[in-house]
Order: sequence, then C-alpha cells, then structure tokens
Amino acid sequence: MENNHRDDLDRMIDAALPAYSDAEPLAGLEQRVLSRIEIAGSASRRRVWLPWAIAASIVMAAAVSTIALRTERRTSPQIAVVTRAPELPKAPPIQQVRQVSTQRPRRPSPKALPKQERFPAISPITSQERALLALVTQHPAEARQAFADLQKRNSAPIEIQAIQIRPLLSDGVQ
Amino acid sequence: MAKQEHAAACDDSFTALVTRQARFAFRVAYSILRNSHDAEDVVQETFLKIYRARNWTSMANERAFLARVVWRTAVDRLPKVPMEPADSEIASTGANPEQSAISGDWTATVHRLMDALPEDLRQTLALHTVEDLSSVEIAGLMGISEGTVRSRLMRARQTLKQKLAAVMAGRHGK
Repeated sequence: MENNHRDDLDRMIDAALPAYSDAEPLAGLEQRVLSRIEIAGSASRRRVWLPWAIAASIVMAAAVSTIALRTERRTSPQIAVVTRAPELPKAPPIQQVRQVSTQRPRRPSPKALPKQERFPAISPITSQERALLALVTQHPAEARQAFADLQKRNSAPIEIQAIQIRPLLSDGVQ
Repeated sequence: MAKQEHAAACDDSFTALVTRQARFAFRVAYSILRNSHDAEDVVQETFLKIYRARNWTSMANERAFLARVVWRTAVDRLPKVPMEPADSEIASTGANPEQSAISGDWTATVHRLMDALPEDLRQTLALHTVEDLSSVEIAGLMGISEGTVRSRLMRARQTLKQKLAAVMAGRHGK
C-alpha cells in the first residue's frame, strides 16, 4: 500500500517535471537574437570612431579659438555706439561725496634733448656786445676809464636824499 | 578581401549556431527564471556575449558551453526576493499548491512545490528537466561534481514527494 502510494507520487512528479521547462518562446526568437546582435555590432563599430571624433572636435575647437584670438588682437578697436538711456525721474538730491583720486595724473614724459658737445653751449654774440667790443678795441683808455667809474659807482654807498614832505596848504575855508 | 570572406563565414556559422540552439538556450533560461520575457532577454544576452567573445568556432561541446553561459546569465538575473509565479500558472491555476491540488491540476501543484524548494535543489532539478541535459552536463555547467548533482536531485525529489504527500493528505482529509 505504502509502495503503491510512493509509486503514484513518483509518477506524478515524473509527469510534471518535463513541463517545468517546457516553454516555447514567441515565434521569431532566432531573428530577434540576430537583429539585436546586428544592432549591437553596428553600435560598437560606431563607438570605435567615437573617441577619434571627440578628439578631432576638441582640436578643431582649440584651433578656431586660437585663430579668433589672434584676429581679435589685429583688428582696430571698434567704437561702440551708445544710445542715450531714457531719463529717469529726478531723485531727491543726495549729498555728493567728493571722491579724491589717489592716483596722480600722468604727465607726458619730456622728450630727451639731443646731447650737446659742449655744455653750456656757446651762444652767439648779440649786436650790443659786438658794439662794446668794437669800442674797447678802438678806444681802450676811455673804456678802461669807464669800467673804473662803473666799479667805483658800484662800490660807493647809496645816498638817499631825505624825504621832504610839505605841509598841506589850506585855503581858509573849513 | 580575405578578411571580409572570413567575417562573412563567421557570421554564417554564428547564424547557424543561433538557429540550432536558440530554443535550447531559451528552455535552460526559462527553467531557471520561469518567465518568458526574462528568458528571452537572457538568450539574447548570452548570444551577444558569445558573439563579442568570438569563441563559438572553438567550442568543443556547444550545448554544454551554451547552457553554462545561459545558466550563469540567468542566475545573475534571479531576483533576491522570492520568485513570482510562472507565466503558465498565472493563467491556469490558483495562487498556492493546495488550491492547485483542489482544482485537480497536479502538474501545477508539483511546479509550485518545486518553486518552493531551496534554490540549489530547485536549479539542479530544473536543469534536469531540460531536454537531454545529463547529470554530467549539469555538473559541468554548474561547476560542481556529478555526485553532488545526483545527491541534489535525490534530495529534491524526496522533498517534493513529502510535500506532495502532505498536500494530497490535506486534500483527502477535506
């Protein structure tokens, strides 16, 4: 009785076991597998070029930016056209704080003069000096006398005459 | 030119492999996952791996090799939480073995009881249900000894019998 029961159980299990994995895939499994592999293959082929494409784009971007920077330096500065901003309503007067700039205004540095062979340079004789030289040459005695008088006059004390203030005259009408 | 011919020949041999073994791979995956969609995903992933590795021409035993890759991929996909009911059972039977037994669907009852087995016993027994997979092949693909496979199969059957007997006793008691 016991053995029969066990045989029944074995039969039931044996009958049920093959069905445990007996499942059929949806039709076209092979095609789906192959198409997925094809897609994955083409994607991987595309991915081979990806690093090169990225590197090329980086190089291109660097080249373009370098060229742009150089061109910008060469071009003259452009005058910006600034449109006048619309007037705002007048604000209440604010005490203005005078700002003193600490920076000194720049002065243009003077241009260096050409270096002279002799300093100070000999200036040409004026016409008066030329006339004096001619007088000394022609009349040396008189010139010497005049020079002595000049020295004497310079060394003599200065005489200042006393100031005389006359009283005011009244016409008698006061 | 020779390279292209070689590639074409490889593609042809791979297409032949897919056509030959896709359904077998599906059954192996289904026996582990008990879900058609997941099983198909595993099959596609498996063939993609093999295609990328380019090692299908050097396989000594393509069925064993394929079963091993499918089993590993399927095990990686197994949820950490207890498995959901299989596709076939959702439509045909109730939610637990007792309800299946009451409805007289002993196949579904056995499948339910198998799902409740410890994972190592369940996987071994499930692979055993796949067409023509011998204990040696199961041992090879699971990376265990043949003796361990036989031991697991025996324990799995014993557990199934005990549980089935309990279910039947409960049904007859009612």
